[in-house]
Amino acid sequence: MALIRRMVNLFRRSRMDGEIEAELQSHIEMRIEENLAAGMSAKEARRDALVRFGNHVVMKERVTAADANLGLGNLWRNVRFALRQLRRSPGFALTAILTLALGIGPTVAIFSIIWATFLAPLPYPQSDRMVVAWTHYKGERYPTRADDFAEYAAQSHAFQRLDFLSWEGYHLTNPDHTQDAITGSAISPGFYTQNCEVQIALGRDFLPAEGLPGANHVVMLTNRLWTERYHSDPNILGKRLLVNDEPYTVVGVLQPIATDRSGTRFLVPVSHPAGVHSDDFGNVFGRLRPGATLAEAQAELSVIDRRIASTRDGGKDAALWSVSVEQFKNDWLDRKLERNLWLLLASVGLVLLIACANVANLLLARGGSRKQEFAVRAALGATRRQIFVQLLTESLALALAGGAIGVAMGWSIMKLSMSILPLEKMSAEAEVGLNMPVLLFAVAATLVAGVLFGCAPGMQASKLNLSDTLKQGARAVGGGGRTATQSILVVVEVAMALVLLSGAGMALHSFWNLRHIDIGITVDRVVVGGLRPRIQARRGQPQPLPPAEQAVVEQHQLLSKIRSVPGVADAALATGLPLQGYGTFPFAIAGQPVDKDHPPVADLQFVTPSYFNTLGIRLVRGRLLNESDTLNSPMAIMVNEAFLHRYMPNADPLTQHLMIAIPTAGNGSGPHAEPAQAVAYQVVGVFHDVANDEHLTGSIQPQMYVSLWQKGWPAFVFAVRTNVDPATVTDELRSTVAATAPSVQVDNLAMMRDLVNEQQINDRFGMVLFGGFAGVALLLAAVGIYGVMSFAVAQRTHEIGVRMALGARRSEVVMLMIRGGMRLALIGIAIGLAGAFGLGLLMHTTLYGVAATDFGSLAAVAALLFVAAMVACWLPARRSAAIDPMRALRNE
Amino acid sequence: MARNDLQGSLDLLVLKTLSQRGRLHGYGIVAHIQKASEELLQVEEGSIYPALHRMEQSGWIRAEWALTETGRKAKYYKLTTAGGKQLQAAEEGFEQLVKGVRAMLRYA
Repeated sequence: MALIRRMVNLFRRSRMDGEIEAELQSHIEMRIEENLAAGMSAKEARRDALVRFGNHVVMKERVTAADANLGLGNLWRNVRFALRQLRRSPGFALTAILTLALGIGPTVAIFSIIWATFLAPLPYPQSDRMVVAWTHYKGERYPTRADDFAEYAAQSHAFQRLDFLSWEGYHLTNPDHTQDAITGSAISPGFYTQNCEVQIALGRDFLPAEGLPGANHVVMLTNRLWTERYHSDPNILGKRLLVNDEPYTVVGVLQPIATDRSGTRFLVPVSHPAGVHSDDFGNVFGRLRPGATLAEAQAELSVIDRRIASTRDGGKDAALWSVSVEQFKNDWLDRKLERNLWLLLASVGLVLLIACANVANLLLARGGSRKQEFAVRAALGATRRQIFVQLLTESLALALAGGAIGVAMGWSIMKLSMSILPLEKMSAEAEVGLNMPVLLFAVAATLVAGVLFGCAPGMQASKLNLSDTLKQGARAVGGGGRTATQSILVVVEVAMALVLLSGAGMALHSFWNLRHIDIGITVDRVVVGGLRPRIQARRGQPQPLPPAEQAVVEQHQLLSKIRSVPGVADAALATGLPLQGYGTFPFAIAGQPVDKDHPPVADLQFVTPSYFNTLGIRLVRGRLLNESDTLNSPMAIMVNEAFLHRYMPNADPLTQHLMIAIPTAGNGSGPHAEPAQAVAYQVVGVFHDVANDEHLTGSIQPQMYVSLWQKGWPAFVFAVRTNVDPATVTDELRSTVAATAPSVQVDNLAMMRDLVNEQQINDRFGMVLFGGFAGVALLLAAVGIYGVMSFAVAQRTHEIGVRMALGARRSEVVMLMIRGGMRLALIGIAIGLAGAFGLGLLMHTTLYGVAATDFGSLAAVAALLFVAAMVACWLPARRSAAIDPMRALRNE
Repeated sequence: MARNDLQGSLDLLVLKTLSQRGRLHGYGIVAHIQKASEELLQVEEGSIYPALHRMEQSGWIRAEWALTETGRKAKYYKLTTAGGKQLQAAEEGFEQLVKGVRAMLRYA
């Protein structure tokens, strides 16, 4: 309350002055009155009253001071004074402010991403009641089977609603299929209005009855699709659109919410009739009943899941399955990326600390030259506290200026980071921006920084020994305490910089490894795409395949048409592509006994013989599949090196036969297909391993290639090698396929190079940011050492002069100075190495091919820091050699 | 240290006066201190005002303008609850100080 009174007083200054004056005056007059009553003369009475009262002006000032002491009047005065001080030394102020901005900017940028991604509440009402259920198998989380979801929904009570978002893709096309299909998803009717509790912008949500076959041909558009493709047509409701080649009626348009940033552009109702088995997988979203807890929901689903697990696959792996109920948060991120983000926040925190240490050092050095000023002020009556508060005010003024620039810098870094980290990698709800919480964080970081680096010099100055300082005159002699503080700050800075550099080193090492993974194909100028059957899945009913002979003829036609597109060098059809994951097809090696329950398995793909040339796959032994492998010739097969190592390490592969039971095309497939007979395939060649995991970093699985011409299976993908910029042929490719093969539609057309780069995105993100921040840290640490060394040289001018007068050689003096600085740097590096080991333990799981203790990169960054420190020491030390002993001594 | 103690004793005298006499203006407080201490304690009269204002800011006393018996406008001060507590603490502190000084003087 006292503070408020003081603030009020501040605004009534003039009235206060009058009141104080009146009070003092009334005192003097009362005394005069009494004196008169005691018999003094009027003149004497006044004189006595004034003498007794003391110095009127001083008293009034002291009363005013008592009223305003510690008050805002002082603060404002301090601020003005601080600004004047900073203006007087613009070089210092600019360095300090920029250093701080370098510390605060990255912190704000990373925090804004972290806030939006992990901490911000979801943009839905009472979002704390929204949960997600995941199926876990062997500790990894997976989507949930639609059948299991049905059990959860029927038997649980903790949920107000339980909804299912299918992972099955739906495709919206224009009637002639010349444009890219737009993907959509299926979701439980009522999810948006009753689970997310958001309004539908136009029209309505799906009705419960629309979750049943027969009524399910309705579609809701996301706001984005409605705006971009239908130009916000207000009459869109009731229109018919082509989804999976069937007419769907538009019933609603969603609000511009999170969905707009997910890959889904439209929604159809999930329709799994009760009691009918479904192959569908998806996410389970729940809204807890009011009062129900997460633990209750978890317990309930676990009980239900135990029951399901005992029947899953005959209850074989029942113990390995579990279900988790988690708060619905923005946590859809790749776990590696998530971990990287937190590590990044920690590292920018370190950068900020380094910046603080640097500015503290600057202030300390400046404090040295301002000693005189403080001593004079103390002599004139400034209390320690006043000097401390004054210095703190100066620091805070610096911090605020640095913070303001830092926020601007942070905004650009954030934009940059987000451009390296495309939105599709982020959770849909994450709204990254400079919002209120981020700004509050920035202000807090700024204030903490200001106090952190403002305290040290403040303490130093307020502990000043008055008479000593005044006696010593202008020649500043290094206070032992200050030098020690500065040394500690430098050591800490170097240590932190090394930790950051090691992080960057490991990230770089990982990225290097990734870039040099041999994926077994030539990536550049290759276009790949899917061939999606247009009359696919009439919602669950598989289409019969054409007979093999017909399929082969059609595929030959399609391939030759694609090859005739200008710019195309070669083209291939296949059932799968590199980096798209692998299957496990059972086989047997002819002449070897087979364990019926655990037969050997390998990925099996059908490819046209041109596949090898198109993708640049290398032959290791034997021959490639070729045009003479046809429907009527003996079955030929190629295997990869991984296959060779695992299944026939010692045998000559070219003499082996594999027994494989592949259902013949056109013979029907799916659950009703006739069991196929195992046929012998002659191994004709071995090809160099091609990355066949979904991830670049996954281990390569045994793989077998059979010619498409020998089986007539439908080709699901195609690959094209061009001798021009591949982006220029895509339109032509699309229309060629549309014209030649009306039964399929081109899907997911992409450059192989982009697909590979996409896989490196996490590492690229980590590397660029870690590298950038570590660079800043290195710069700051070097500047810190440089500053302290320059200061030391300036301080020891006299001593150096004496040494040189006594015969010390210049090189000896330089070495002396460098030794002093390098000792600090080496201690810092040693401490930093310990920290780097710790960081390695935290980080290496997010990296590729980097051990927890990455000696190579540690040595490299330690050497880098050593060199930087050396340069930072050498520059000022060189100046010490230029000292003229005569002048140094005369300056005494 | 010396200055603080002096200031501390002035605070004590003012608080004590107000606790004995209730509402009083600055001049009255000075007069009371002189009278009650049998003229032993002489303070520079004006120096009481910074002390009064400081104590007011600290919330130990409250002030209001009123007319004196002779019809003059004067600022009257009154002890607050916080001031009462402060007085108690100051009195105890002072007793301690006196005891200590006495013990010192008696020490042969």
